[in-house]
Amino acid sequence: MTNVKLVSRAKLVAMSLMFAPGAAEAHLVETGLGPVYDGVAHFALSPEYCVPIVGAALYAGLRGKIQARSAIVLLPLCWLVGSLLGGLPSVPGLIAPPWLVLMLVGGFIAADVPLSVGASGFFVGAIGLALGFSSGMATAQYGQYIRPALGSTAAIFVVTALAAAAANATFGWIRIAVRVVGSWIAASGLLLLGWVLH
Amino acid sequence: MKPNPLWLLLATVFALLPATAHAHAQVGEASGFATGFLHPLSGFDHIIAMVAVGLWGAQLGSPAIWMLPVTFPLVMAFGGFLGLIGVPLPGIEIGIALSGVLLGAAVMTESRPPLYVAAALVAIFAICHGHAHGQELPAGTSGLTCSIGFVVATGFLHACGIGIGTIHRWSYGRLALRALGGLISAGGVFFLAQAFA
Repeated sequence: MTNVKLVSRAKLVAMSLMFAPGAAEAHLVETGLGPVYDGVAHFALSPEYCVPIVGAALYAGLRGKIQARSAIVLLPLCWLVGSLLGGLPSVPGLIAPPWLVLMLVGGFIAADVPLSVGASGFFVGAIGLALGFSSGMATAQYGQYIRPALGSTAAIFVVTALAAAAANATFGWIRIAVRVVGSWIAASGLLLLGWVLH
Repeated sequence: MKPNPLWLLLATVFALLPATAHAHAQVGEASGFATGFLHPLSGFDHIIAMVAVGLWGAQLGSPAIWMLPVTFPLVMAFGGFLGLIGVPLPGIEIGIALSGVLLGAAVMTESRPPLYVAAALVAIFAICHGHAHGQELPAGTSGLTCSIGFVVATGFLHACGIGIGTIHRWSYGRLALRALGGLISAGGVFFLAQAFA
């Protein structure tokens, strides 16, 4: 084996070891990796945010290509605006109840509600804005919210692109599977309401 | 230099090495999901009925194959909601046992009622199952993750039923499916006898 090949392989293994995950001590906002990753972790580890966001992206994908493409821009953008607004001091503590958001998003997917392009964009944007606002308020309690908001927005961009593309697939069974997932989301929201009133 | 697939595989394995994942600061998230997920799997009376829904859906074909599994979790969640807020429903255990008897019988006889009748039957039984779960769900866990786990497990059982039901396309498969329906129905009779005991 030549020295060049040996060095290349050593580089490959070294790079893969560098990317190997260490112990993930996921805290509410402090991952130890900096505020941007804190934002990503906060989004990914909070089902009250990530489930409706994925649901909204699935709904947009279900409605068609134009809706899916606009959701890729609208959802992260509205989330970012909401997060920045929610992080501002002295904002009113208005938080959309998670059960309501889940029931709305899940119900829309399960019923495949035929909203127009504008209305579906408004719906998706409103979900992003409302949830972003809640997330911004939560992260601001820990000192900073701008960079976590940027991190979570990046995560939402990726998640939205993947979910909307998956739901927009032309195979009939994927549409059915997405609608079944929507019914699960709505059912979770209804059960959560029961927990709230319990 | 063209990369050697073996080295690429090795690199991928390293990159995907699992590491210890410490829990989120929020309390009860993971245990909530586990509690909710294991709840529908904890009773055989629930399991046979939910698998039967999937089997029957597979027998009936489209659109029942997806409409029944969509109806069941939604109405079951409504039953769970009633159970959680403490609305009493008498005869729940009898309803659960009857769901095994009748859904199993529907699979056994390959009955093909109108879709709304099938959906209504499934919905009535879903309320019984949901109510029983709603009353029994323990306090102190995360409500959201518990709800998600509960619904996902139910959907998983339906999917199992649909998966098994795909043998319906073969003649011996149809026979096996009907026999399975008979077994489920017999299980339902057993639980019915227990409910009355």
